[in-house]
Amino acid sequence: MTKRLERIAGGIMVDGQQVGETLQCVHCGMHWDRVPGSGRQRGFCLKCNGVLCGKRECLIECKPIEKRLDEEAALGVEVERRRQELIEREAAKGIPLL
Amino acid sequence: MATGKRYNGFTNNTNTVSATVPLIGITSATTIRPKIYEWNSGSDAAPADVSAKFSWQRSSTAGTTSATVTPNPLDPADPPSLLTHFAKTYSAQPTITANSDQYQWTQNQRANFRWIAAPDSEIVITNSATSGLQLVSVVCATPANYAWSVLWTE
Repeated sequence: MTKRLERIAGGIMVDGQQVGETLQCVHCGMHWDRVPGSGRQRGFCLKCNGVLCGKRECLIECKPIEKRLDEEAALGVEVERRRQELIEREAAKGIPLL
Repeated sequence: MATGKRYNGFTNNTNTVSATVPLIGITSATTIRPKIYEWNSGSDAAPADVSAKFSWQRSSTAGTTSATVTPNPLDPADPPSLLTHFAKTYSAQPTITANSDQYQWTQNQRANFRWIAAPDSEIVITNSATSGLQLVSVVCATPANYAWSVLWTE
């Protein structure tokens, strides 16, 4: 029996009828329609044990989606901290805030 | 089955093609990690054979909204959504991250389209007030009004 390595990540319904399934890239989180025999080159990460969307950045480096999201959140916190600092600095100078 | 507090946000817009002006903007907050597990898309305009292509893309700034929608909790006992905003239009557009498509789909204006995530395959937005997901119109020869309903957990 063949074990299916690709994990179905979503279902598509058109006019109430299920017409397809989506797979999800373990590196960027992108979903795509599963089309067997389409010839589209995707990929597989042996470390994450999951399918890849085929984008270059997903193929060349193993960075799981959870790690990417953590980095994005950390960046967002840093941006927000700097924005607050700027607002406080401008307020201290007496510059009216928008 | 999605767990956590579940919410529904819906809006409508004309699907004019643009890489910078989104049709829907969902922006997270520092205290939540929204996970989108379902959406519906369809047109309420007069039926016509027009193809359309949409894409959910990530964004790294919140932008300034000019029209927002208040999401509804699916469980009336749940508190209001903690999203920074569920936007219909912006006066200052959010910054859409290049090559960050989370899902693209095509549909005919006559049909309605629904996507449902399998458990643990939801599209996650990070816990940052600048992180978001934007619905962008990628292709449409003759734009029409479309309506969307998006469901997520927080």
